Parts: sequence; structure tokens; C-alpha cells
Amino acid sequence: MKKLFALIMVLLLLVGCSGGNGGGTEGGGGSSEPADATKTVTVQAPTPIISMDHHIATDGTSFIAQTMCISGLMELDANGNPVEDMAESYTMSDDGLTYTFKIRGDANWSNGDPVTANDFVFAWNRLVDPDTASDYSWILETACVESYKAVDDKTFEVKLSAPTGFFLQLTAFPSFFPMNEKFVTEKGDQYSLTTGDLLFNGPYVMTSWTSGYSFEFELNPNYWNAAKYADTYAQKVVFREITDTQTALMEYESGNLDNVTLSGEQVDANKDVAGFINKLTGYMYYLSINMGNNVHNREGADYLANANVRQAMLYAIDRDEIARVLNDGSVAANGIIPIGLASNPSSGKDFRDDAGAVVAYDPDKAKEFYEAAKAELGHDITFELLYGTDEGDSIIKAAEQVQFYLEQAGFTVNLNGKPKKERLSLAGTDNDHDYDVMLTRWGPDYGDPQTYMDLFVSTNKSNNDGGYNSPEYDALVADAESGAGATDKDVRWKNFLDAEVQLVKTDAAVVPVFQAGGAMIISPAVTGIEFHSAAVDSYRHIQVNR
Amino acid sequence: MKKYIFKRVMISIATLLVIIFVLFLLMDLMPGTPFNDEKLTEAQIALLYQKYGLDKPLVVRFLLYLKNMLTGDLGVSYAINKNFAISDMIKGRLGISLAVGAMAMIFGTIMGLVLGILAALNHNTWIDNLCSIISVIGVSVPSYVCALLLCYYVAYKLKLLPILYNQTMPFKSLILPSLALSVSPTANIARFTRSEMIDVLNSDYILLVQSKGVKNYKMIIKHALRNTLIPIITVMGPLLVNLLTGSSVIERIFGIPGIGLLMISGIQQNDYNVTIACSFIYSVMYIVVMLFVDILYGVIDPRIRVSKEG
Amino acid sequence: MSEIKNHEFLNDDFQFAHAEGEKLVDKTYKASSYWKDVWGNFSKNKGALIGAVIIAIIILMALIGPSMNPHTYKSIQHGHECLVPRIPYLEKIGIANGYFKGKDQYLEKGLKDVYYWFGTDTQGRDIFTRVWAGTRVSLVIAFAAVVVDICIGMVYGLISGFIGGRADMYMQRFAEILNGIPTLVVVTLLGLVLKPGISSIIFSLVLTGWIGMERIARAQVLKVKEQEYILASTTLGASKFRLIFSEVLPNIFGQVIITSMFSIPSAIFLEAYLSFLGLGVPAPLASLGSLVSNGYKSMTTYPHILLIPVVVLGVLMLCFNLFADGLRDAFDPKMLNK
Repeated sequence: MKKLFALIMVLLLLVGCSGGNGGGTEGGGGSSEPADATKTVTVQAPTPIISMDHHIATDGTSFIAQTMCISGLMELDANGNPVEDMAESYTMSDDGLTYTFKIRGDANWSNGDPVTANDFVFAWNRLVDPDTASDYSWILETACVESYKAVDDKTFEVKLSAPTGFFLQLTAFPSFFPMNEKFVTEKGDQYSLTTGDLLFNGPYVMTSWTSGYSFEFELNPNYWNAAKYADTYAQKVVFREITDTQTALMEYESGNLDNVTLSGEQVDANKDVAGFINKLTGYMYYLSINMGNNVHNREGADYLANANVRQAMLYAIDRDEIARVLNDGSVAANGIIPIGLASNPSSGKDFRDDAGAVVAYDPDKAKEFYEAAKAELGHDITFELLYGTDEGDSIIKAAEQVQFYLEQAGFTVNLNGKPKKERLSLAGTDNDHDYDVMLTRWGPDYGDPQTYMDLFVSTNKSNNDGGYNSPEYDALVADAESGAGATDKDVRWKNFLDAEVQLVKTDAAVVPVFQAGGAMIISPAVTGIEFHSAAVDSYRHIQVNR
Repeated sequence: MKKYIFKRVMISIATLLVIIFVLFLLMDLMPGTPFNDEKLTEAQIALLYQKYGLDKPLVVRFLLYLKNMLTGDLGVSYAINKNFAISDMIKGRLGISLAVGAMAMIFGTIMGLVLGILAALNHNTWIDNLCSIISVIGVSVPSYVCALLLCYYVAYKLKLLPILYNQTMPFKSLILPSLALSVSPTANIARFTRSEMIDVLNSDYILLVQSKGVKNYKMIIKHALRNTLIPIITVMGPLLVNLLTGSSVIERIFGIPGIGLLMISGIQQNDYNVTIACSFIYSVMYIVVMLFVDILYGVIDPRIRVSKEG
Repeated sequence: MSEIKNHEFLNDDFQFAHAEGEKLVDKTYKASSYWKDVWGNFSKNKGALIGAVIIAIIILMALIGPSMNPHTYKSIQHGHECLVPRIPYLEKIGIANGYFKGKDQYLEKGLKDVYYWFGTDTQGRDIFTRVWAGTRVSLVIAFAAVVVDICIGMVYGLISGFIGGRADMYMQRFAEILNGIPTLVVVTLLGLVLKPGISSIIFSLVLTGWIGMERIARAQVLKVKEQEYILASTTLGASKFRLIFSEVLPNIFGQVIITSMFSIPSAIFLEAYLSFLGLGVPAPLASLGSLVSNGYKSMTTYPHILLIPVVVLGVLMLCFNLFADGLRDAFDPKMLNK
């Protein structure tokens, strides 16, 4: 009995210690006064931060955390329009090729250093430096940035090779954020690893970060707009990492959380709760069809080069029903470009409204195409559908639904579930595209159709897994991006509309399935969590009213 | 005995080395890269391989890894917390996982022994049946279902304990996870205790003890329990190790930053260093527990000691 | 001393302690074979018999259940999602009448003569069909686990424990290395190399599933082998093989049976856990484990989706245990003599 007692004591000690250690590293120069509990917001973070280095991070949570405490030239308002942040003002030359940003005199880093044009030059250089190995190193090129320089300490000039409409919006994206050269060089490998190894110029400073548990932000007294923040916005924002949807909901209902993401199963019981919203994300889920990269001589992929096979797949799927079954705010995909990504430069209409539905559900037509394909190939058609098993329950459900519909049309479909890394690896270049059909997704990097259109041009070896090779499509996209479309926005827009029809309707190279949604409850006491389908969601304008 | 222990320890270290090497081999076989394939070009991936030394031959990497490990350096994470020292990532998490595992084991052992002894002493009565049913339910309902039930009734409805893990009150918030986790060891230990105890109680020496007039409870503790413990310790060892890694689901449900979850993400995201480090810790625990069990055998049962030394 | 020497015994000096007038008559038992004794013992145990019968029923249902109605395990009925059980006749007495939270779900969806005996899941698939199809998969895995346990684990443990010395040492280290690598890592790799599915799960059981049994068999042997009857048998010149399999084995069979019965739920859960990680049976195929982990997500909203597979799993486990208990008692040599 004595031994048991001793064991329990040791255990208590252990728990005590680990609790103490887990407190996180304090630092970052936050406000010294304790935050007012009524002005504190606790939100759910469904995934952990992967990196606080904004050149290394690639995931939503990391980007959200970075936009909390680091500011770029511009920031996004509630509607996703760029407004000045580090920049006091900017001018654009008449040809739209030269941007000159005037940086605020009172923009400072949390160690007191002023934010200068050189911080941007340094950061952008680091972004494209191969040694940084940033996943986003290509984004400067995509934005057609030709050169950039510091005219003086507070003037930053960017030259573009083409008038990129989404450039200003991109300056609010973490990849374009500044870095303090002295600090980053001094920290070296240690930069961004703990809160003490970070420097902030945003409205908040990161005060604690325990991976797997939580990360916290408090108001930054050195922010240029600190006075307004102190009056209006939340003093402290705590992100609590909670993966399990059921305990998260209980925690929300107990009043310990201010928002909670719901699974499809939970929506029916909660859709009448105050604060329930269905937000639409920019993630487009589609079937990537291996039609031209069948190096492995896969039996299934053999048939996919047949146009009738692909057309049958295009018509076989009832997208509205799938969205209804998912029940998590997802909507049927009417094309490869998601709703809310970009709007017509002249009329302001959303791309989807302009383009209408380029896909349709027609089971009879699907069967006709299937029979035609069967007659051409001389046998029934069997293939494998690859999907991700660790990408959320909706994906598994969607894969089962797609299988069901394709089998209704006559196909025999075998499901092949793999973790995401493995799925991408199989379909990617390092395995020479070892797949038939894959349920995959793409999230936009910026608010322009180009972010999707570039994926399927024949020269894009890293993303065009299916080996789609259409001269018509390539010509349309090339013309839009560097030909006539480069100077005429309406031509560009028209070309993208045509390219989508060519890609989806004419060639059925990809089969759009659904645009992912996110059902959520936000506490009525909290406002100002802003969702952007084509950019990073913003938690930097939260207001509390308790 | 000392010589025996020394020999056993040396063998255990050799076993560990073999395990690390096998882990290295396995990681090498794993398809895919730890890097984000979606947005990187092939040239960039090659660069990353070079940066992290992944382009070197397996044996070189293995020896380098061993050398670094002796200085407490387990490498950096490639995917989960990019460029973080894994030793730092594990430091904070290991304590919590150990605490949950140990608490679950204590709960499980106490409850299991009580249930098992009760059942054995009342063999073939309704108490025995009740204990059996409880332990069968224990093994047939998954721990995550138990966890959610506990959460729902104890924490959410009755508000007796916090729902999620909370750094400011670690002990209180770890009670529910440990209870949920202890369901299966309870059942296992109860079953083994019961059947061992019945065997022991039917044996001749107990009959002798009984006829000598030793009081019932004293007999159970001094004579019967001691002989029952040997096989139970055998199952307890592996059960403990299973708890520590099998707790990943529980960690997920209660939002506990533990090592089980880390290992799962390591495997799923191809984060070689994290997977190897977590597996290595698992192996160390396993080997230590096995070593302990073997030595404990000798202490509990003199006959085994004699035969081992001979 | 002298007093005793001179003592004269009287008729009433000694009396029967307990039953006065008890007559001891030798009973003559019919000669019966070992297996007959086992069966005799087993059939006397009511719990074990009930267990065996229910297991038989569940196996039967696993065979015919999935084809008892027009649905298949993967057929989806759009518009029929999340229905609670509704069974003809029973609905008239208020059980399984399709009412959920005071409303008739079937009426609300306009379904008149539609009956789902166990309800439907969140995708509108018939749970009755899926549960029995899942039971079938789980039973196959459970059976494989027992076979692996007995054929590899028990034999390995017996040999290792009985031979002892250097051989024991090497065999234990080998098992330690195998077990020292987390099962999850092994299984993940197998899942990636092989096609995920029943075969890769069984293969991973073959690789690591038997080690728990091996430890127990070995511990039992260590306990048994120093006992006198083994010594007696050795002295009489019994071969090692004979010693292991006909002297040691029957005496540890009780523990072995119990252990292998416990490996059934752990194998089923291993599979459930793997399904959770996407390495279990490939969707849309179901197993009891994957049905439970899917139902888990609906536990607070539509509990029947979780409850039904859990109950089937629980009943199955309970019966396996009752059955195992009966077997244990029936095989125990000490019980045989009573």
C-alpha cells in the first residue's frame, strides 16, 4: 500500500511538472496588464500551427496565426477588399505596372525598430531564395512581379510585367509580409520557433504557443492603430486546438469556447441555434482523371483516354444530392471555379454567375455515354477511385457517394483510400501518376481564375497529374495571361470562361463535385470573424460584447 | 542476481539498436516525401532532401542519427512543426502522456484486482457473473465511446470535471481521460485475476493454509494474491505500453497534447524524424517494462530465480 | 507415556466427524474418453451453452443477414438518411416505430410502407444489412486472430518457455524486437505496400498479433514446468515434444483459451482503429469496428447509428467469453476428475 501511495505521489508530481512546463514561453513584449476576461475571446483551432515562419507555412491555421500578429502592406476588410495597413498610401501608374507604397511613419516592430521598405525587400528576397525552400516561392512570378526596390526608408516600389488585377490583394497574403532583417539573420535557424524568436508588427503579439494545445495573442501596444484596437477589438484571442467535433461542441455549449466547427452529423440538431452559420470555403473538390499520364499501363487508366467514358462520368453525378448528404455547408460544384473566387472586371458579377453551370446531372445521358464507351472498348469499365482518408469525414462520404453514382451509370468503381501525403505522392510525379481517378481538391492561392486554370495546362508538370493536353485550352489560357488578355481585362475574363467550358464540358478532363463548406456556430457575443473564400480567414477584427 | 541483471540490461540495449535500425529501414520504404507535394517542384524537393541530409545513404544517416541521439538531438520535424527540434516537441508531451497512462494503469489495476478477487471468491454466484459482465463490457465497448459517455454525463451534464484537458488544472482534467483509458486494462486484469485466483484457491497449499486456520483475508493477501500476481504482471507490462501509445484517440477527444497523437501525425504526414523518435520512445518503454517484468519474476517467484541462475 | 501405553480403546473413542451414518459406497464410473469428458463438462455449463448458441445465431445472421432485404451494404437511398429503426408489427406496440424525438421520421419524409429494421445511417444506407455484412468481416478477422494466436503465439511461447536457456533468450529478444516497433508503424507500412483491406490486417496480425499470447504461454510454462508431475514424466523418459504438448499444454490451456478470446476484441478493435486511419477495410465495405467508429460521430445526434453495432459487438464478445469460460473449465484436467 505504501508503494502505491508513493507511486501516486510521483504521478501527481509529474502532472504538476508537465503542467508547469506546458505554460509556454512568455515573451514577445506584450502588454503587461492582464487581459480583461470580458474582452477575451477563445476560438477553436481545428489544426495546429505548422510554422510561424510565413515563408515556410502552407496551411490555413498557420496563416491565420501569422495575420494576427504580422502585417503586410495591405490587409483585407470584411468583404475581402484590400485596405492600407503597413502602407499609409499607395500609387499605381497609369499602365498598372508600377506600384509605389508609402510606409507609415509610426509602423514599428515589437522591439521598437521601424518597419522600413528594406524589410519588404529582405523578406521578398528570402521568399524566392532556393535555400529558404518556400512552398510559395513561385507566387511572386505568378503575380508578375518583375522587380522591387526600396526607394527610401519608407518608400517601396514594385514593378510588374503585366497589370495583375489581384496584386494588391496578394500583398495581404502572408507570403508577402515583411521581415526585420537584423532580427531574422540574428536568430538564424531559431527564427520563429518560439514566441521569443518572433518579431511582430501586427495588431496582436503572440504571447504563448503550446503545440497541440493552444496559442494566444494579446494587443500590441506598438501597432500603429493600437489606440483603435484597445477601444474596439478583443484584448486577448486564445486559439484552442480541438480536433474532436463532439467534445468541441460540448465545450462550446458549456460556454468555454466562442466558436465551434460542426460536422455534417451535428448540423441538423444545431441549425436553429443562435449564431449558426454556413460559410463557403474556396476549396473545390473534383475528380482528377488520369487520361494522358498512364505510364504504368494501369488497366483502369487505359479506358479513361476514351472521351465517352469521361463524359459518362461528368453526367452521372448528382452534385446537389451529394452536397445535401454532406450537410456541412458544402454546395454542388457547377464548374471548376468556385463561387466567390473572382468577379467580372466590368460587370462585377461572380465568375460562377457569369459562367452558369457547365456540368449537369443527367443519368440517362450518362448511361448513353457509358454504353457508347462500352461499345467502343468492347467490355465493361472498371477503375479505381483514389481519395484521402485523413482529410475529413466529408471526403470519405463524398467518395462513397461518387462511387454510388458512377456505379448507377454502369461503371465498376473500387475505392482506394490513402492518407493525403500518400495520395498526392501516388498521383504526383514521383510515382509517375500511379492512379486512375482521384477525388482531390484545390484551394485558391489568390482571388483569380488563374489559380485554377494554371493547374491544367499541358506544361504544368507538377499539378497536371492527369496529363490533360489540349492545344485549345492551352491557347486560351496563354492568351488570357500573357497575350491579348494581359492588356484587356474583358478578353482575359472571356478566355477563362471559354477555357472552363473546354476543360470541363467539352473534354471532361476534370469532373467537379462540390465546393466545401464549413458549418459553424459563433457565439452571439462575438462578431468580426471574417471568412474569405479566396484568401486567409481573418480573426484580427474580433469584437466582443459580453 | 546482479550479474544476471547486468547481462539483461546489455541485451536490452542491443535490442534497442536493432529496433532503431529496423525503424530506419521501414522509413526508407515508406512511399512519398515529408514535403508538400502539391505546390513544390521536383527541383525544390531535391533541394529539401539535400538540406535535411535525406539524400545520403541509409547507413550514413543511421550512424549520424545515433551520434546525434547520444547528445540528445533527435533531429528536426519536417512537416508537423517545421524545423522544430523533436526533443523539444517531445519533452512537453511525454510527461502528460505518461501521467495519463500511469493514472489509467493505477485505476485499472485497482479496479481489476478488486473485480477479479471478488469474482473468484464468489465463484459461480451472481457476484461472479456481474463481475464477468462488467469486464466483458469493458473490453467490447471501444474506449472512445466510454470517453464520450463520461464526457457527456460527468463533465457536460453534471459539470463535475472539465470536459477538455486544461493546463491550469492538469490533475483534475486528466481524471476522465484516465478513467476512459482504464476500462480495457480493468477488464483484462479482472479476467486474469479471476481465473488465476480460482486456480490458486483450488491448489493444495491453500487447502493447507486453510486447514492451519489462517484467517480468510490474510490468506488471500499473503498466499493467494502473491501467486496470482505472476501472470498478471506479465499482462500488465504490455498493457502499460499499449496504453501509452493507444491513448492517441483519447488524446484527440480530450484535446491533450500527448505523444500518441504526435506519432499518428508523424506517420500520416511522413515526418520521418518524428515517427522514429516517437517509435523509439515507445520501444524504450517497452524494453524497460519487459526488463522490469523479467526481474520482477525473480523477486516474486523464487523458483524462477533459481532456475535462471542455474 | 506410560499412561498411553496402558490405554485401552473403547468403541466410542472415535466418531465420524460430520455425517453420522454416512455410508461410503464405491461408485463405478463408465469408462469415458477424454473428449467425452470435455463435452460432458461443457454441456453442463448453461452459460457456455447459451454463449455457443448465440454465437451460432450471429454467425448465421452474418451469412444470411445481408441478403434478407433488397438493400446491399453499399446501396444508397437518397432522402432516407438517419432514419431510426422501424419494424413491422413491433411498431404497433410502440417499439421501433420510427419515432425520433416525438416525431414520426418516416411520416415526415413521406415514407409510407418503408421499413428499415435497424434504421439507416447518415448516407441513407440500411444499417441492418451493413451490421451483418460488418459482422461477417469482423468474424473473419477474429477467427484469423485466434488462429494466429494459437498457431504462432502459443507454440512459440511453449517452446521458448520450456526449452529455456539460450534458445529462450534469443526467442524472447526476437519477439521483443518485433513488439518494440509500434504496431501502427508496421501496419501503416503494410497498408501502403499491400492493398488496404482484410488481407493486410490479417498479415499484420501474423506479424505482431501473437506476442501477447506468447508472453502468457511462456509465463504459464515457467510456472508449470517446475512442478512435480513434469519431473515425474521426465524421469519416466518422456520426450520433450511429449512433455510440451501432452503434459504442459493441457495444464495451461485454460489461460490460453481466455487469452485467445481476449485477442478477438483486440483484433476487432485493431481493425476499427485502422479503419479510423483509413487503413482498415476499404470503404464502403463495413466492419463492426468501422461501423462503431462511424457511429461515434453521430452519438449525440442519432445514437441508434452507434448503438446497434455496439450492441452486436458487445453481445458477440459476451458470448465468446461465456463460451471461453466453459471451454476453460471443460479442458481443465483438475475439473475433469471432479
